[in-house]
Amino acid sequence: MALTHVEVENNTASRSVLLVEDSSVTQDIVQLVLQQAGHRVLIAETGEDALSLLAAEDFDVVLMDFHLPDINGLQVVQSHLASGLNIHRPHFIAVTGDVRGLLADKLNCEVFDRIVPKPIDIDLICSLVETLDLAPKKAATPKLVARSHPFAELPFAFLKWPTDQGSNLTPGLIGFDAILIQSTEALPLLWQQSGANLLPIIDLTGTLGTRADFDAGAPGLDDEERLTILVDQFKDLHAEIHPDIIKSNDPADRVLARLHLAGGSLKPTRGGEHRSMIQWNTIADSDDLETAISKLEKEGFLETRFFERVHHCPKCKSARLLIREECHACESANLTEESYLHHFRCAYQGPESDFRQGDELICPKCRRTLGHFGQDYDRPGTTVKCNSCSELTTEPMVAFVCVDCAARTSADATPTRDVSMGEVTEAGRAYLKSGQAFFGATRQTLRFADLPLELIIALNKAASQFNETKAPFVLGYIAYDNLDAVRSEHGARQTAEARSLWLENLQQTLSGKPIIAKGTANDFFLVTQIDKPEMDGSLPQYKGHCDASVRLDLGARFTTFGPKDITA
Amino acid sequence: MSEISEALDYLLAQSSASFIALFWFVFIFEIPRYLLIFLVTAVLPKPRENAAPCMERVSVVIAGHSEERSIEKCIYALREQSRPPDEIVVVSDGSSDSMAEKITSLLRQGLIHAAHSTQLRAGKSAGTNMAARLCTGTIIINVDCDCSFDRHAIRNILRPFADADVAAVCGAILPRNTHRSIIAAFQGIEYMISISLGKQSSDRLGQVTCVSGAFGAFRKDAFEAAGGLDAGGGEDLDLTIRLRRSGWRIRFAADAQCYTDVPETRAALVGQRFRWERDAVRLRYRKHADMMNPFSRRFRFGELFHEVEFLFFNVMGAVMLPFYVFWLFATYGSFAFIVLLAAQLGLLVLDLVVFLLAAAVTPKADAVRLFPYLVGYSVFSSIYMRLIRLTAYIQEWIFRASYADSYVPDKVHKVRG
Repeated sequence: MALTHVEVENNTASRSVLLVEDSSVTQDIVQLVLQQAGHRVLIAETGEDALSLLAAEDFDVVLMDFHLPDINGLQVVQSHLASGLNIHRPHFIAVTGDVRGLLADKLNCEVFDRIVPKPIDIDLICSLVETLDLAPKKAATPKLVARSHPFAELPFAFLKWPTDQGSNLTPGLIGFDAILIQSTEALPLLWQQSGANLLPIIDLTGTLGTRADFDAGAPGLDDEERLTILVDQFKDLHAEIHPDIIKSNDPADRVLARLHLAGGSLKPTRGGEHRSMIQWNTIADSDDLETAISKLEKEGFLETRFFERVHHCPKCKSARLLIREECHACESANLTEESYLHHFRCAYQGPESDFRQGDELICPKCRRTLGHFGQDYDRPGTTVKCNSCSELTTEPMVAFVCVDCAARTSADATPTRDVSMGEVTEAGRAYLKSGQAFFGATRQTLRFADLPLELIIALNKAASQFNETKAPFVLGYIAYDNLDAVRSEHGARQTAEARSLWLENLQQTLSGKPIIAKGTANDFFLVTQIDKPEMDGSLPQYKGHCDASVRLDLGARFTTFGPKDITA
Repeated sequence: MSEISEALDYLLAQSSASFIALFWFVFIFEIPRYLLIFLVTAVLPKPRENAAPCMERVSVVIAGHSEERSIEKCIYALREQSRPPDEIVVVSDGSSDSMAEKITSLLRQGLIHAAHSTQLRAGKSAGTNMAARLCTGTIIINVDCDCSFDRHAIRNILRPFADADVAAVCGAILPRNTHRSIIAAFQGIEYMISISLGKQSSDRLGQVTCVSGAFGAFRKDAFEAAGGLDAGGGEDLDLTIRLRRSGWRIRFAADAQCYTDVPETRAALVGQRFRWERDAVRLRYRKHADMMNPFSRRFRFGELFHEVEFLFFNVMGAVMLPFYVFWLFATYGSFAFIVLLAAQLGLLVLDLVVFLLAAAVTPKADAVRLFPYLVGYSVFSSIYMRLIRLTAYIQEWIFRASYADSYVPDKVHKVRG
């Protein structure tokens, strides 16, 4: 039995965690991160070990690798629950590379509280451990009865909304292929669900219009084929998106990803359902979209064109406004149009009602009867009479009354906002592909989650050494400014080769014992026994050497961090 | 040369009686008029106005036809008043320019309180009546679009209403464009003497007979009881006469100063004066002829006075001028020129005296700048304007020309009384 038991200082937020994991690299990294965060971590390498530990101690959280050398994760949990020792039932989190396979078995969904995909996302694990509700759990949640749907035959995992609302959905909705909308209620809640922006929306109600990607309201013969194509399109495009954006909670990032997956266009249409009177091709709330769109526009990720100017209520911002003509004096809309009559002979001119006496028109000034149009009198114009206060006016005032909050505003004072349609730009697509790295070092802060695992372990060692002996180290971050350009000119393979060659040269050039780690958009190096100023001084020379050895100009750029930058 | 000295000798040799016989026209038609004005203004005390602020609700009514360019300036002048009106009602009377849009925009800006537009022109009377019908004040001030006002004009025109018998007050009007032409400069002097000074003397005698349509204030109940304005033209004179005949007092507020543009060309001036004089004759001696009839139920000496005064000084003065000239030439041959010149010189002296008096009572007029035009004005007023008047009277008497004025729409001419 290989057990590692590390005691840490106990604090109120501290949780006891059992990590069941056979990979030593994963063990190291999870343990490192959770302990840094103040949690107590026990590690079991096999299912049997895990069962013994579960029998011996109470845990708050069990991180269970699904595929273990002896028995699988599901069996471990089932055995533990069957043993009757589950007075305190921990939260079971399944860690697996096969989310879909795991979700396919309904039993798994009952046993595990959460399913986390592999490769492990350290930030996600950390936040899960910290945010799980530790109140005593009921033995099992009642199963939701799934309604059958027209696409049950397709080999896709559907999130059924709102049926599945409230059940333990996988973070980021990983493992799902599409969202089936059974009812339009609680759509804003669905949008807030992380990952909901990355899945196609299948409208079973037939009422969502352009907000859904697929209208299944009226069944068609080729529905299944079209749906398969749609899901595949989303998957293909999803694969291009950088994990930064996939995990991002920034509304602008989420909208951008959604637009990209749905074909790259932001399409507003006029519609009365939302109070903005505008419907978008996404289920995101219109009010939230506005800020997201302006942010994307500012970053240059979305190119917009004018679509419509909408008047809205200054009080509640609703665009559901009644337009009405109203009286200047009393603001009543109870108006009727009336002619002016001009009696030529005595120069009396006034509204027809002044003259009207039954069938006759009698001049109120000279009491003569107006007998002949054109000879006695004419109608030089019209006036509008208010039936509420008898005020006369030639041109009534135009005002808006808000349907939602009943506030009244005169037409001149009613604010407007412009609604734009848009297309995701090349820059927007590049950002989706490269994530935060797109912004370069200026807006880049060193994020633990960006680093490859082997580097984190090495960095941890270097950091402990620094704490003990003050031995300095430098972590370098390599960004390639020209990567996209080179890739589009010379192809992905040549670019990758050039990048490898460049890194290899760097490894040979750097003094000491450099550790070089390859990332997705960026690469990293870690050099010990050297301090940051010294390294910064030598880097231009190293870069020159590496650049000279590679035919393609990758536009490599360094950002370095010393021990103080990392521990701060 | 010898003829001139002979003529002078002849003139100087006249006795008082024969001098008057020679210049009878001047002694009959000119000197009494000047004397009257001079004596009344100099001798009778200036009426004291009640300085207490007017508590009535004051509505300014403006009816204009195609006045897109002047209406805004007029409204700003009204809003600058020390006693601003409580309400401004504007009627665009069948304007063919964008006056209707302009007043709607003024309404939207809150600068006026009501804006009404008609598509067919009904004339100044009907437009003003409609504005008066739609306003809510107890005092109506009727102004022309092309007028602008001194800051205290409205405060001052309201003061005489402290007297409950006053139905209407006429504002003081001076030309704004006297510098634009010699014709305009002559009218500058004319307005000083006949409107400012003349009306001040009329006011002291209770003889104000025309509350100008350019700037006049009316008690609304009196205005309504009189039926408002009748179909034009000369509707301002007509209404004033009707109010007077109903027993109301009419006043002139010399310090309620308003400015307007007067005709700058001879043609425009002649057109305007033809219209005024024709309307005056038509109204005084046709429509209101019974003012002269002592047997009429409504006969009053006060009305007879101004009817006779107008008939004598304006009508007879114009009619007799050609006879006088003809008589002079028939009797004195070539001496007549010298006699006329001497008469004109005499008139110039009288004009000078009256001009100085007018300047004294009209501080707002630019008397110093107008002074050099006085010589020309003397001829302009005593001969040129008399000939215009004479022509107008003949036109009206014989051809009833006022029934064809373009100032009034045709449809109204056909049926107007």
